[in-house]
Amino acid sequence: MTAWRLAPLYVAAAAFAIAVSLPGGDPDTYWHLASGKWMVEHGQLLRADVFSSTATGAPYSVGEWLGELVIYGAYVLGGWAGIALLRAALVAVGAFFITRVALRAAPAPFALAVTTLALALSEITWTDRPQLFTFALFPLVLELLIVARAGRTRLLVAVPPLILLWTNLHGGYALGLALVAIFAAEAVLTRRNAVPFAAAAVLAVGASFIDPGSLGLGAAAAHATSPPRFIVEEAPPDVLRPAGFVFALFGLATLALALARGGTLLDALLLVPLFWLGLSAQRHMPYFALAATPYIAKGLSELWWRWRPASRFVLPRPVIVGVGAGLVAMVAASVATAPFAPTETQYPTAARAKLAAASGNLLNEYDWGGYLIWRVPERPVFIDGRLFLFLPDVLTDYEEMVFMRPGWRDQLDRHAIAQVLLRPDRPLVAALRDLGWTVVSEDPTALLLQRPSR
Amino acid sequence: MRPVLVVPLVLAGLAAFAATRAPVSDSDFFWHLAIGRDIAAHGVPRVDIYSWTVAGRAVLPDQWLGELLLYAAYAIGSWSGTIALRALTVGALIGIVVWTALAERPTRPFIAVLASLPAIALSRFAWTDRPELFGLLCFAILIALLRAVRRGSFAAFALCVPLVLLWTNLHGSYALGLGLVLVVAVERAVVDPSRRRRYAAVAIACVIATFVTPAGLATWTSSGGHFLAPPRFVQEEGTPDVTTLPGLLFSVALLATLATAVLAPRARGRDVLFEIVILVPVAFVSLTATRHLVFYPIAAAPFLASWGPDAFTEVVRTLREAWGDALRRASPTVMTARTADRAPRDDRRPRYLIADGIAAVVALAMLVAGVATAPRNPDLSAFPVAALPQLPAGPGLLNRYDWGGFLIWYAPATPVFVDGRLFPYVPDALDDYRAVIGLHSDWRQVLVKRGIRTVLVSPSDAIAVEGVALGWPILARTPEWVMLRVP
Repeated sequence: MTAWRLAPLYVAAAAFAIAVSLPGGDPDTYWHLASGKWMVEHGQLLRADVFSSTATGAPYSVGEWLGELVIYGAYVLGGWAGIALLRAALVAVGAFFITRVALRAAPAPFALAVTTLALALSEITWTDRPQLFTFALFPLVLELLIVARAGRTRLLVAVPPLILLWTNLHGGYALGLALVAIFAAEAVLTRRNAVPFAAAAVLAVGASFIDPGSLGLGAAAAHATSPPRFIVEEAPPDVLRPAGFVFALFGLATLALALARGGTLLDALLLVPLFWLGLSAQRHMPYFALAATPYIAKGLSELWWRWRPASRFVLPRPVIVGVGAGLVAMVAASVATAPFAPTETQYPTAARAKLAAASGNLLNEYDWGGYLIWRVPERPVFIDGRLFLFLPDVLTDYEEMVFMRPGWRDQLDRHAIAQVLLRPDRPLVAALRDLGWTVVSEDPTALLLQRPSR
Repeated sequence: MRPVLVVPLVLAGLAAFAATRAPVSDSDFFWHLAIGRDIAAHGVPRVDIYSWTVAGRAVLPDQWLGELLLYAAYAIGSWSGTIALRALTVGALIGIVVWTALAERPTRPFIAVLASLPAIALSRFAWTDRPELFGLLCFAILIALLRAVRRGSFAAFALCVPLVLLWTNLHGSYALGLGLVLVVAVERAVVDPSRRRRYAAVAIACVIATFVTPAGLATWTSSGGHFLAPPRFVQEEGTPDVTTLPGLLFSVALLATLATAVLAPRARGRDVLFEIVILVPVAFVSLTATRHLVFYPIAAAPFLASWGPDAFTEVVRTLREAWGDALRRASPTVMTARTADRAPRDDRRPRYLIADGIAAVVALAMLVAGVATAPRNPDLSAFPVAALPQLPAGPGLLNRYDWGGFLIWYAPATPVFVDGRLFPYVPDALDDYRAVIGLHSDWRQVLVKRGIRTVLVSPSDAIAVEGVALGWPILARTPEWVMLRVP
């Protein structure tokens, strides 16, 4: 065993330290928490909306029920600190396994360099939502399949249970199924371990149906091919922004190395569809980067050795011990100083008290729906991040009113909107002020307007 | 060896014919046309004369030659002249793309056409009457030249100098061409060190050529600024979306290249660096904005024509190894030897020359037939035509961004608030435009500050909805537009 074998542990520790220090505050965290809380309090799955005034009682997917329960469990156990520790632990698991995957393909310096970059890109998904389980499970399943392909096919028995767990944690399980299908296809096409891989794939697909409200593969595919573009993370990658640029680096490095040294059938089957997926929406970019990490690390190391054939990468033991001790200190310091409470400066915090005291139907900013569900539970929201629940009618009505399309007044009346809580630069705010709506609360973030009494 | 021209010529003719089917309708075309007219009459303009918000502000004449060409075509043949120029450019573009792919594997025209399909289909979205189309043609020519350089022709590299000079005066996309010339010069210097000084000389000449324009040094800042900070609110400047048709076509080319590069066993060796320096930078540029998507399929078509069949063969070989005789019987015609595909053929034989000649006549006939039967008048259904007689003369009109070009051409007495030239309006005039049309919190102050007297907008724009609600007098109205007087 070489000193580099400790690298996955070190990378995981560093990722943990960074992830635990990140401020929370994602709008979707709140409604996931609220869903988990409702399920615990009522002892049943949350199968219909109870948080909005516009879709009350409407059924919606409960495919992430387990993920929501785990997140709420972390909150119950440790408050916001529990959420942060869960986040850091899941990130560390993902970092650990992707480093192992990279180390199987390339020497440590190259594996670590590319892994670090991939993890930096993946930071955009380190939010306190069930999608973090996908971030942890994707590298785990990838490594498992790679090891099985190398001959240890008995490990494939772990695939169906993992997919079963994943299916109930987050809709990203479709990525896991895709990984299994790709490895199975390669095994069948090349007739190497075809039977165990095919069996694992069939059982995994079967396991994915054992879920009280799975999105289903069709829904996952529909989501990938027509993502709701107005949500930032669902927008296409912008390569002129930092995350998009790093994604482009991965894509172009993959292309350049493919031109330079080619690859295998498995490389093509794995990288081509995941590259497309990454191009389809920002939230999918990290999965291509993770899958391409071993390929790029291996290619770079080959180029290096062509240039410097005599290179050896050996770390002295004191360095290894020193780095390990430093990481332990870093983790301890991060946990001790982490700002566990979520950052809520982007939310209408100043309006909370007034909002709680008022009554009637509320029209709120889309991005603030989750926050309001958790922080002002007595006021049902108009709309929130559970998007599909509100498609198409509620979202259309929302846009008609907020962006002042013709008919906005009728919509305002039809929904009996008593208060409006929006950003100050919304067209509707200017119009309602002209119409004499009362400003109940105002700050640079939000404006709460009350309909005048007739 | 020269590939037979029949296929490129026939496809060029078909594309030219297809390009004549659409009437003139692009909003930006009209302001390009107006500038071209003024260049012909008064020389290259240096300041804005079409708006009242930035009148007198310096403008960059970086597309002056393209605009002059557009106006020349219009002056010669009216709207038919415009369509003829478009068809000619599109025909040349498609012909060159296919020819470049065919040159890589001359005996396999079907493969060349297949490899060019994403480029052909995607270019359809750029068949507009703008200097951008000339830039695209220049790019296709550059790719053809650079691939000839890879095959050993230094003369082709020298031809890049006049091409870059012309391109710089036609359209801002020349910067991409210059970048490719520079990286290929470095690549050639590595691969062919004995000629490195000559490559360096050509590269330097190309850089100098980009300064030979009325815009001078500013042409660099314009291209660079546009590339690094594209105005995302303009649809064509948006981030590429692979779930739309243009994005899908781009992704087909990109992923086909990746799959081919991974799988083709012989796509390496001496030409590796060349393919990398061409394809990787162009892929990045294409990823920056929707309007840039078309560059990559054009650059990738020759690579796909060259190595796509080998990748396919490799997959079949893998399957054969695994699955034995069953597959071998199923695909008896798969190529096994790339060299056999490249067996030289004497293209000077009379029958090839006659075929080329006939194809040229057919292509020309399609172009002429297309122009002869093309729509005679522009399609103005997207513009507020009926509002023209009621437009107030002089400053004070706030018009929709998309209609600025139309108004510049059709209502010269009414200067616009904003139009598709965009950069003269950034940031102040554009911010004010957004504040009013989107009813931002300061919209009333902007209305007063700018002295806006009339608004010509879509009925669904927030300012129109609010104006009607406030009882502003409606001067004219249709389902597509509304003109309101600001009290």
